Amino acid sequence: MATMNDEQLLRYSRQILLPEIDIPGQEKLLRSRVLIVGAGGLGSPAALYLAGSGVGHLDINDHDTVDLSNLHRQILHGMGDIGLHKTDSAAASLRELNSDCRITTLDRRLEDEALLAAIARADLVIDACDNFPTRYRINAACATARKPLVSGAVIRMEGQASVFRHDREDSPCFECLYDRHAQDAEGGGCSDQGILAPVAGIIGAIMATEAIKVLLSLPGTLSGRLLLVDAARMRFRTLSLHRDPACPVCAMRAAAAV
Amino acid sequence: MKAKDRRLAELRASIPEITPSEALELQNKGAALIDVRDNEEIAQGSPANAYRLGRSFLELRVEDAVPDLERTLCVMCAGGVRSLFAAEALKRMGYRDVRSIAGGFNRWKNEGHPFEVPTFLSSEDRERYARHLMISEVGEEGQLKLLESRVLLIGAGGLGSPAAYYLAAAGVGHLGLVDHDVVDRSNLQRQILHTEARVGMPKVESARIALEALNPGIEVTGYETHLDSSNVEDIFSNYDIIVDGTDNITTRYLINDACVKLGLPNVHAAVYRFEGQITVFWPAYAKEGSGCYRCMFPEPPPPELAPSCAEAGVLGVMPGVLGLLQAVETIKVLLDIGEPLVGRQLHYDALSSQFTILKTRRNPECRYCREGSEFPGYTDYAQACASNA
Repeated sequence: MATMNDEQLLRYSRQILLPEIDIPGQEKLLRSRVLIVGAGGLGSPAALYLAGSGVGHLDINDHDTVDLSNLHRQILHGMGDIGLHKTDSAAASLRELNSDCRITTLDRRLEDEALLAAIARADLVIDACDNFPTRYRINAACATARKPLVSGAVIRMEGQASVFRHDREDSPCFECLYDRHAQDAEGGGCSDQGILAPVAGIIGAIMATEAIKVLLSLPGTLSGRLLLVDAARMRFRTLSLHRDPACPVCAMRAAAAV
Repeated sequence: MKAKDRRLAELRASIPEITPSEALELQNKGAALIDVRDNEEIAQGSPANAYRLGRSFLELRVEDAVPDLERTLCVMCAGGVRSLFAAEALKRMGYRDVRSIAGGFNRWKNEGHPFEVPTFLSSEDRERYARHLMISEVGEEGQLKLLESRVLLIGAGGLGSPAAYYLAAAGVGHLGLVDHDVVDRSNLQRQILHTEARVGMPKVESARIALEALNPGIEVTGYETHLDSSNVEDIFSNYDIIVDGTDNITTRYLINDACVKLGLPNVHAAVYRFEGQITVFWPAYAKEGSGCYRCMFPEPPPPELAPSCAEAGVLGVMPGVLGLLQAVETIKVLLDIGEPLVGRQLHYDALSSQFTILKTRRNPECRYCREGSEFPGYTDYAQACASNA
């Protein structure tokens, strides 16, 4: 097991001072690998804070390029990055912040097997994408690979976040919460909606917090709960989530476990 | 008779026409004046306090501007023809009393009624802030207001990094940053404005580089100085709102006192270990003023009782969440939208993922923010210990 050098001890000193993290926790973060799907409004703050905190390896997946209209909230990118792959722009920003953090870029839309392979390599997945079809595919692949999933979404001045512990038997999943067929009927995309810039930041930062808690086995994660944020009124609510007995993804996960 | 003329005659029979003078009088009594001309026409001038809703999006936007269907609407175009068509559309939407201004803006101007030349977003800004223009809480008017706003952040560290980043991204036109420190490698665990290559550089300079790379359309002013009673008013008086991201307890008193004296809102946050809290102190808030920091903590603790100045542990992302909440509250105050945390304190406990709201109380005896009290003056408290930012 690699131990931290003096520079790392100094760099992460504020976290090592926390008894809940200490040296073993920081070393665990340095050994962790997280896949972030989406290097946009949610992925930007999540990736920056995970890299800053010392997560050792980030896989950044996005098939898009940087556009001027992204910059009102996607702080991983800058004016000089317009037209570049978001993954490349993200990797450059993250390396500038922390060259300790290994970055792997995946600049294509990941279909079935490639998605599953990327998820299987990671200890945890952050769903920071902007559309329902991808969310369902990530959720199902996390169930197959039995990897914890941190999920978040924003629209206007509202946001939500949750944790789906596909690494556990009893956890509800994304599809228990959102029935696929109901969403199909609604057409449910959120990529063309307005967003107050820092609201995306709040949810992305909360997702990073939840990811660190899961990686370090800290208590009180949003597993089994959905956090709802109303930033206009600054009201926060949590809803209890329950497994849907008819959920096909949970059924598949249970069958695979037998 | 051409079809157009026949149609206009029908409209004139059903839509009351009024003169610009009558419209102005109605507007002064509470009617909404709706200017339905295109942006290029409005750029030449438009009546003060008019709702500028171009004809092509009128039906989609009017309810956000005028939710009350009983309110009288006076509709204006350039010459009084297009406004007849627009007025009919508004009647069909359910507005009860809709009138068309005969002669339109041309006659309004010729008769010497007041108008203003509105400013518009450039086409580049229209693209950059497209996602803000889509929400009614911001819109074009709100975005223009953000671009004209001035926000001062005290501290370009853990809280100031995300707050400054997102305020710059959101298009706050003028950002000031006060910090006397230089970037240290141990900052990078949570201070995302800075980079390894800028270790050793003044934080305000490092921050300016990051913010301008993201948004060159805004102005960033760095104050590489220690805030004290001799410079606080000079600096604060250039700004609309103060974001307190300092980790220094005596500086918090100075920020509070200057904000109370100058009537500025103070967006105050703090983080410790896995917890954070945020509130907006604003005794002068027009809707319902809050107390100030001194209502809660009248005086700093004596040095011997001060909390240990050794660096406290903190999860890197905690100042991220709290700094972002500060950015949201700042925008809400600037645009007067939603319910800002004035008189309420939000507490976040990351180890239970719980957010709790507490009401903050105004101390009626507070020497600083009590109504009608004379400002007691600034106090430069001795540092309780060696500064350890």
